[in-house]
Amino acid sequence: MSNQLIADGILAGSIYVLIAVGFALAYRVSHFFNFTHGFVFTLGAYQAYLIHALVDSPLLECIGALVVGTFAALLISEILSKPLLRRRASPLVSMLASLGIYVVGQNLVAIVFGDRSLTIHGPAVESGVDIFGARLTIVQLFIIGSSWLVAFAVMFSIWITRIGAQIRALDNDRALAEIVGIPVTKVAAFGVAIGGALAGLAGFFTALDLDMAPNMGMAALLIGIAAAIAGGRRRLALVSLAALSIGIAQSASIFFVPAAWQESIAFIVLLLALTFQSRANFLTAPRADA
Amino acid sequence: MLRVHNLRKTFGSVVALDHVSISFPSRGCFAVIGPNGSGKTTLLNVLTGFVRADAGRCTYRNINLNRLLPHKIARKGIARTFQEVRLVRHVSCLDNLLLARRAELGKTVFRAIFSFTAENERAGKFEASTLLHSVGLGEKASELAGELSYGEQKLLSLLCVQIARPEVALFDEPFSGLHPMMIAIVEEQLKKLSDGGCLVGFIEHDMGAVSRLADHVIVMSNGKVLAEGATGPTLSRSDVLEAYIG
Amino acid sequence: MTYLLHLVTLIAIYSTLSISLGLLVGQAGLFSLAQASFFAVGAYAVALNRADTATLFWTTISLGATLSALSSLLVSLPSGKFRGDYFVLVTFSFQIITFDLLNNLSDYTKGSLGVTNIPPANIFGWTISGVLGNALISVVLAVMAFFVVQRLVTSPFGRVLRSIREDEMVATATAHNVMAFKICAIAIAASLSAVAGATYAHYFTYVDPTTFKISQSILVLAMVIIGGAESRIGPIAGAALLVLLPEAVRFLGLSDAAAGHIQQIFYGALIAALMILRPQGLFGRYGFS
Repeated sequence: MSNQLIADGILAGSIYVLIAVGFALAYRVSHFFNFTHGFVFTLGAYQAYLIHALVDSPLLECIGALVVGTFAALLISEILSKPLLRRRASPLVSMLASLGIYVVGQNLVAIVFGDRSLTIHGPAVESGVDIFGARLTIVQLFIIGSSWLVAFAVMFSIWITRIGAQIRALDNDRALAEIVGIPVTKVAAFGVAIGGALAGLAGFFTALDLDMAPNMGMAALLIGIAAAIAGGRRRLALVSLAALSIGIAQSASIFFVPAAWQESIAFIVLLLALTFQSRANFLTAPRADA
Repeated sequence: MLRVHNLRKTFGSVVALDHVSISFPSRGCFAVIGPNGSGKTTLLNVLTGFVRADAGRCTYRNINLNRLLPHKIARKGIARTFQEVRLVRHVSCLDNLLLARRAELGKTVFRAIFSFTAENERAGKFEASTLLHSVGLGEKASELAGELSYGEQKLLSLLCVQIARPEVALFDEPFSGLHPMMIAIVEEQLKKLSDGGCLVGFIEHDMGAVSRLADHVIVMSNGKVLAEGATGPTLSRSDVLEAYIG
Repeated sequence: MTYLLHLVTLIAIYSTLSISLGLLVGQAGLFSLAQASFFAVGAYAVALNRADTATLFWTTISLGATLSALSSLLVSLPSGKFRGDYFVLVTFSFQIITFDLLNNLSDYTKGSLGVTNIPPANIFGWTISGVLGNALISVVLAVMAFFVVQRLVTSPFGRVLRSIREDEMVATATAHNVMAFKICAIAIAASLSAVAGATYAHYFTYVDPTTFKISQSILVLAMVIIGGAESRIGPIAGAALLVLLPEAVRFLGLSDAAAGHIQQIFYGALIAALMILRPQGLFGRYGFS
């Protein structure tokens, strides 16, 4: 019984890892918490619905999620980040602007597709596999496997590749990175694109496993925020760990608390993370003279 | 009165304070000098509670300052300025001063909400504008602090310390970036403070100001206290000169 | 006439909400996305309280306001020492969780079914039912909220909040306990929102979780941002604008759901545009950079 819960937790956690890593990556290159990440997540799910209506090809849907995610993120970044950067807006102002765009996006989806939830998998029960007493369908195993594969690929690239190093430099000190010749705009765009692809993929996987609704992005944002902050916003490995933990904790919490409180786990993680993290990591450097 | 004992503070691999022990004079004016990076500002930050030392003790009138939050230390009568001028730029000069008054009834949340009367506000405004007039900033009282020139802003932040009627006033580079007329005004204000019984301390690079104002000087280098003593003799020591020039 | 009074009641309720958020945003620079949660606490306190003194207006309002203030500690304590955007995130999460709990704890809150038959307000023996009575009550409370906030703004408390908004280190160096001021401001805003919630419950006699979703919080934030946070009429103007707008849209014949979406697209776009172009809003003074 408990093994099934753990398995469910790992499934949820794997999708959370995609969300959180994408969110944290986007944060690293733009230095504000971008709410539109939740909208890209939602688009990843709804594009699959469109494709599914035309042709039954999970492969196309998957590719679509990556493509739509990437382009949506880049397009939004064009609209949003350029003017914000120009007026050197604070992280707070940028975040609120992104919230506004998220609200517009979520409601556009609701107008086009309706408020009720939609599904893309058929009614037939899928074949499954038994692992240590827990039952997971082939699709679910695929989701878990690909999520981790993609997440590791991204983390590894940040660590090893040249552009990964450029992203790290950009995160560390944007002005300095520019001075030493790093094409910061392009590198930032790359980071945003990868983040968007991850968000889109996560949205697709969520729709594949469960269903989709216009407000699904909110829940994704909650997870992304909690995991990113718990993981220290920068170390993608820690962020992944936090995301996985949230997934497992949510599932396993049935033992300890009534089911109604499951969603609160993410919030509790966020509170604990903030309570135990030192302020020194968060405050911006002392202001320069006007 | 004011003492630090065996202070240690590292930032990553940089040792900012290396076993620093100082017994500050109980009145008059002292200066803390030393090349950039010698730990002067860190010392000030640790004293006023904005940075926590890794080890060592700060005491004021035998009260341990180590565990105290910075606002509590300020309440004990230790006021300070910052190296980069810090003011509330979107409010008026008058408001900045009112904020800084220690007699101001707004210090604790309770009193800030419940015990404010028109009379106290008026008394505060009078005190603040008198102060502004005494340095020639009288007309700028209602102007936003952010619209003042750099020199005027620095002067304002000094006035904010003055209006708090502190027992100890610590200034971080009060003369930097100022032109000679301003320097004279600032010197005059610091002297007024110290004549009024307040212990005045300042970090500085301007040796002229140091010799004119300070009775006592503390020289720091590489996180350690290199020399300490009366201004004249200490400044002419060869090791002090070497630390600066050599 | 009834319709007009209905609008007045709505504008008054939302004005109370936006005035309370205006205190946080305009003075302390704290953007809260949790006002709908505190709104809910006040509303559900009235809705669920079925004891004999249940309809005693002042009792239930005080209960709601107190609970609200206490629950606000869950957002102020963890985020108080951090930068403004972290506060937004904590309030965002708090809001989402509150909605979840309202929906899922059906044993206590009747979940998505909502609570019906909420008795009308009982003030000093008079039963306030009907549009006129409720309109009067809500306007009176809105006016009270306005004066409470004005008093705070012009007092030393307001002065300290404005310094916190811009530079916490200055506030700290001038001997203020920044954390305490933030906690207090957040608690006050939470209490005022709860008062608005109590009025709402008595007027509509029915509450369900959908009134207290994140979109409601964003709506109130939009009212404050659009009207201008640090201004006296700003929050009220914003409330009036954003309450009247969907009513206008409804005349176009759109369904309620579509009208709701259009309203959200409108203020979502406005928030984004204002943040990019004019953060101080229509009437505000401070630009939050």
